[in-house]
Amino acid sequence: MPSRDIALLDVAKTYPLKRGAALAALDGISLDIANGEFVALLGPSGCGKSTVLRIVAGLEEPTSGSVSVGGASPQALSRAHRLGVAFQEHSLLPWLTVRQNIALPYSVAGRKIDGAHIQDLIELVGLVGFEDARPKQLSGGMRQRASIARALVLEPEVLLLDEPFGALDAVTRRRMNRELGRIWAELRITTLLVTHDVDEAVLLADRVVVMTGRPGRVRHIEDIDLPLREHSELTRTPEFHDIVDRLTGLLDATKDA
Amino acid sequence: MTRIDTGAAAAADAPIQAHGTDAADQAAASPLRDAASITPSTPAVTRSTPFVLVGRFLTAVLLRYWPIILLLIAWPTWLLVNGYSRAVAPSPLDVAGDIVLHPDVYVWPVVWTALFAIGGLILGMLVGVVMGVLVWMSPLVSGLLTPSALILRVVPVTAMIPILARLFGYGSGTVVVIVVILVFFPAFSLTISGMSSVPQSSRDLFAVLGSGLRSRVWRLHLPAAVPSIMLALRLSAPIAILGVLLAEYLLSGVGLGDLLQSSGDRLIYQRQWASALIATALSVICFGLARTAERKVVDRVT
Ligand SMILES: Nc1ncnc2c1ncn2[C@@H]1O[C@H](COP(=O)(O)OP(=O)(O)O)[C@@H](O)[C@H]1O
Ligand SMILES: [Mg+2]
Repeated sequence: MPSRDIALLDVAKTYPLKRGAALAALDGISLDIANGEFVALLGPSGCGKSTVLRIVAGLEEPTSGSVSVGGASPQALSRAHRLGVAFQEHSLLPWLTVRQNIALPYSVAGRKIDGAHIQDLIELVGLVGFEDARPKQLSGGMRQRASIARALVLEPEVLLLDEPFGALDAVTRRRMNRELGRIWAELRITTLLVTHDVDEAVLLADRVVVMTGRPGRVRHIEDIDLPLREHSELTRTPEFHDIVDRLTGLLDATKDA
Repeated sequence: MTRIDTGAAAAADAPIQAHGTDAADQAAASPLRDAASITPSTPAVTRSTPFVLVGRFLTAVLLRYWPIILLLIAWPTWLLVNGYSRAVAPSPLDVAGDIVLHPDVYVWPVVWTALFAIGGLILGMLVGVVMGVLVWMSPLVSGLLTPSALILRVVPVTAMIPILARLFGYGSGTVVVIVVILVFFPAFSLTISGMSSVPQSSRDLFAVLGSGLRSRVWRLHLPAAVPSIMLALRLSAPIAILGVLLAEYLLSGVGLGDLLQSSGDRLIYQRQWASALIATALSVICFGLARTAERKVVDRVT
């Protein structure tokens, strides 16, 4: 597998607003994500997390600075159908069933649909029995799970997840966190997870990047050395809680600032 | 891409919906509920007596079809007041009598008119949708096709008939061409606006999936345009009947339009009026079928 490291160098993004005004969403973001690394981007809402993710996905161009994925442009990765993204909005197509939605990346890539693999994923995200349901018949959490399955279906080399469990209740969210941890431990895809849930970030990521808002900057990077993905029982240890408390404190401080 | 004004089509839709049976359904339903709520204390037995049931039924019919009932009363009254004889204007009975006594006169014209209308409607929708997709996909095609589409839209179709008749003959071919000209434009412009109405999140999805233009059109923009295309179908269904009648009236030797014209020429007024009524009924049926199809399909894709 080719190296799919992500490199953001001094990235800034300003959105033009009405009457010549501009909104500085990001400023001086530098971040390297190694091949096969799981990085969580943590920050209060509106601090520019989604903007970072959209820049890495090639959906926005940085106003200044540079971004590369595996040494090439982000668009090159999506053109090769090697990018998996689960957006904050589920963006399932309303005229397709759950199964057809998950199969969509195959059709777009012009590949033969692997029905057994899709069924495995449906089981993985707990949507058995809803294969032929349409998005409007699903709850918000089920739609997000379908959208995660769709992001994983082509076994991408880079996975971008934007608050993928935002619409889930706390219990399902924990279960999905553990499932994602387990899947990820198998696949080891270069992953960027955007979240505002400190537990989730610490549980899943190798590194947690804490952002401050307006304009978004990197405030702190925390290496997580606990094997939490494989041993989720470690979330009951004091070490885990220390990290969570410290990062929560940083988030509070960014809100005060 | 050239922007095409679909405001006219949307505006044309509004009064149709207001006239549709939705409003009548609601109007019919509420008095019935009121009627039921007047007798809450009385036992269930009185509510279901035949008298009450028939009363409810008549109320519903009256509320829903009052314009037709009014017409059937006003029509003979108008004849009586003006002292018109049969030779001038037929009564409802004359008209109904001619349909009942000479069904053979009406069967084939109805069949022809319906076939031409449906055929022209399908062909016109196809032409409109295909043109819309091509124009949406390519600025070059848009530059080539949009001006001519607008010209076809702007020139009154009756003014085109002499030229069309020269080109396509005085028969069925021209009838279909006229329907296509009338029908393609709503389909064309609504296809384009429907394809452009895709939410940003879906565009983002197809971008990160690395979709090419064709796959994006086929799997995203065209399905997203289906509700607009079905709206075009509903708007065009009665227009297709109108187009066929007009073309038959002026050109061909078949169909209800021809019956309308020839019976007038031969001073058989009850037949002329009957043809007009049947044409109206056909138009209403077409509209109703298109609306049902629209509801079913739109429910399937949203
Ligand atoms: N397309 C856009 N145009 C203008 N402003 C935007 C746009 N997208 C995001 N923003 C602004 O940029 C800031 C960061 O947004 P976002 O990256 O979505 O934050 P987060 O995902 O952390 O909640 C917000 O203030 C938001 O209003
Ligand atoms: Mg966001």
